[in-house]
Amino acid sequence: MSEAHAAAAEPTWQGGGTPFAVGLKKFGMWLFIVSDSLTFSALLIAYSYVRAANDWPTPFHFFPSIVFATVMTLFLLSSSLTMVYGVSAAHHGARRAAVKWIWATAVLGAVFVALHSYEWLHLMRDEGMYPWQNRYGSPLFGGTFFLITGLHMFHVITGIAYLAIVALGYRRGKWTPEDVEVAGLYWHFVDLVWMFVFPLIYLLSTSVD
Amino acid sequence: MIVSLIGYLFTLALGIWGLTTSAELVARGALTASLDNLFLTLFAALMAVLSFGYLAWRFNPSRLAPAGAAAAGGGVSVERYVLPEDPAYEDAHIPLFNKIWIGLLALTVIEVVLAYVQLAGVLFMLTILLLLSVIKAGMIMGWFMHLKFDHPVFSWVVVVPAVACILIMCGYFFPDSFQLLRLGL
Repeated sequence: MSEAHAAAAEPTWQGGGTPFAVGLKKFGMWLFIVSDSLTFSALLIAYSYVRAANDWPTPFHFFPSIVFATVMTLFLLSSSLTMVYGVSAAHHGARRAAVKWIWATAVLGAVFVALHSYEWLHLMRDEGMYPWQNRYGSPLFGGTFFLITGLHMFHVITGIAYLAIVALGYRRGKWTPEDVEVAGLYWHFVDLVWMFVFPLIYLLSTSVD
Repeated sequence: MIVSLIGYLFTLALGIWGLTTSAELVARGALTASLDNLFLTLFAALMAVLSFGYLAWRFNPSRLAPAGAAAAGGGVSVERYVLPEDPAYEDAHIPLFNKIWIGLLALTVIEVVLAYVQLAGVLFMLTILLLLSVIKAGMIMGWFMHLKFDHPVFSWVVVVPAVACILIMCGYFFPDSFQLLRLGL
């Protein structure tokens, strides 16, 4: 977007000037991230409210539930690291390396989704915990759990698809490093949300043995 | 031009509201009369600081170009913040990212250990966990999402709503929910 430098000389209403001196795609992605984080905040605050106002069950045993969730968190954090490597490689012009790191990010994200789905199935089959009922006492326990983790998982799956499209297109030369960076922003946002979901939903529900 | 004017007038009105509301509450001595009052005062004061702060920054005579107010635009020249295609953009090196990652892992481990040890009281656990989560979020946003190396306005876009959100949560929602718990509803 070297046109941006030239465009800065044009009058603003003629398309000149870049707001906040960044590419428009990046700016747009930041606006989306802010709005999406408000969505998650609304859900997490509502969950916190309901949780604090009631006798909330704490059924997740440290072994294996919390350890499992911690492993999931480590996979997601690692995917953030590989994404950062990918963005850095893209900016340095190492196209093949960047594509490799983007695929690595997508794979780690897919492992996260697989582990998460396995946990869901275990909860539903073995613990009798569904979005509409559970055997722990508070009827909303399952509902809030599946809603919040489900919405997050949906974001992860969408992110994997997004990363795949960017990886394939970047290899062909269709996308620029800025596109890779914008995809990275979305992926880090997904990780960011998990940083809040994990303590609030899992760690606070650790069973007191 | 007219849109900017409406914006500045709104900011001015917000600042005046904030100033008068917080000043009135303090002058009446009703600041600590209730949690509501305290929160409203803090919120109004914050709005006043932000509004007048922004207006002072925007119309700072030492920052404006010789041509006057109209040429100042966004205030900071484009050249100071390089765009993504510029090789200088990636000024953070890989070893730094690795260190940030190790830090994130360490904080996660601390959180998990806290959950295992079951420190006294849900409220205490919640506070510590939220604090650690905010620090982790700050690290991800600052380095991985490149906020530290971008135009400062992005940091403001994130910080202001986050602070307002936390204030509203702690001022309204949590006291409400604990009250419900105490009432046994």
